[in-house]
Amino acid sequence: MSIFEDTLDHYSTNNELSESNIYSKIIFALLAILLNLMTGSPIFPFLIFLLCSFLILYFAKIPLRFYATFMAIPLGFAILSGIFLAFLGTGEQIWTLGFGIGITKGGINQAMLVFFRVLGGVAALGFLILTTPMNRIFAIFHDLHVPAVITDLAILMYRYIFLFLDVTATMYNSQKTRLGYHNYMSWMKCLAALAGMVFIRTWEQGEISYKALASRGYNGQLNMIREGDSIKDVSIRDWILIILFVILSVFAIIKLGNWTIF
Amino acid sequence: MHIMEGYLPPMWCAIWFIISAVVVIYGIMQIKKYTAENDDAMPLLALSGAFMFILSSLKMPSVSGSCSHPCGNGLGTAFFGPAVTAVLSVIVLLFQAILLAHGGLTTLGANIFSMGIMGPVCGYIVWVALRKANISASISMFFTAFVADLMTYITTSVELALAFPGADMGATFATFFGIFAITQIPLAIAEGLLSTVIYNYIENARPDILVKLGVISEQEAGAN
Repeated sequence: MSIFEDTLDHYSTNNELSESNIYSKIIFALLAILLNLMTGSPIFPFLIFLLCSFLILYFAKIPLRFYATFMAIPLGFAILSGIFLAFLGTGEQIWTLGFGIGITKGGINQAMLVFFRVLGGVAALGFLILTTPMNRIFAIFHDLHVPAVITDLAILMYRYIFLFLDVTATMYNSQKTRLGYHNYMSWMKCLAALAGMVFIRTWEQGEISYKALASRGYNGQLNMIREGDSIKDVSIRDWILIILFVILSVFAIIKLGNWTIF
Repeated sequence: MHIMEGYLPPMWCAIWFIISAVVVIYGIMQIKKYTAENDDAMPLLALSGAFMFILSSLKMPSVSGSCSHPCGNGLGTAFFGPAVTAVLSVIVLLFQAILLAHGGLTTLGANIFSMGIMGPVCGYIVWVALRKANISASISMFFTAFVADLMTYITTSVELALAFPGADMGATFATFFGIFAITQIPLAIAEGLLSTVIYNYIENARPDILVKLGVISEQEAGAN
């Protein structure tokens, strides 16, 4: 029913880069995302997109088909909003729709810039999330001194999301086999019953979990063994590559400036 | 509607991060106090967050024929209050960004502000006002979800208009708002209806949960 089956989570735990140091990946991805925003030219985000796609497909060995479906939704949105932004520019109109609305040169350039930024940003984000299992990201939370309440909440939520997605999918299928969702009102009714039931189930699960935790001496804080990579384990090769990437990027950003296609 | 990664210029990313951080830190303090007093609060909060995430992954039919998904922030704010909803929405949005690539990391601040702060706070004001006026919980639920959903989109269009002012900021806002209003008012109505039916379902099946959350009083639960 959802996009969860055969998903991201499967690929993020089973690819060639899952086991590599999380800090190299996270530092690279965050730098790429930030540098991607700093540029004024559509060329640089496109280079980021090419680089990240290459890393995802060639090093992490994520299947091309999955990567394409992963990128399709954000891309569709980016194209739509790009078209929309093209109509918002100032200056002389080069193509007029009527009602004083038209595409201007500034509008096209802005639309191109935003479109490629989204492309680059999603690819860089994709590099992080397609190669990094979630439980390792939680280890980062701890190192960043995120309040323990938030980390605990996030870990528990992550666990229950998948548990209850399963329950939700089962209920959805059983509603479908009993001719649910056949018209608008039935859709509303079935969906409400499904959501209401999931809420009650989650609530009951919450009470049960509390009892299970309380019987093991829970006092409002989850004590977990925090293990994972340390920032000290990032290899010199990775550091050199990251620094090289930043230097080249800054050079490219300065060199390209506000250069535009049109 | 989440703003995509890379969509906002860096300055606006930072501004929305700072504004959201203030509210979220207040929410975290509330949750800390709450969990310190009640041991059982933590698992329930986590499950509520999981519920919000699942709710946002369900497909909802819209009046206009298109499909969308419920925001769930109206239901959340009526059940748990706006401060807790803000913190839960931070985690939900973060998960949506890193599990599904909906939204993004740099635009997280803007998305938190629209979905986790403006929507729930406005919804909560409506909820409290209607409940004070002795209007039944189901009807209040409809307007709460409607307002929370709509305010989320209005805030998003403000954020977009500020980031891309174009020739005239007012006109740009009007365009963004026009597009959102036409597509989102039917969705907001659908979400309002859906929340009401969900609420009624829970009220019939387990009124004790709602009493415990302080959504309805003992008398109202007994009347069913």
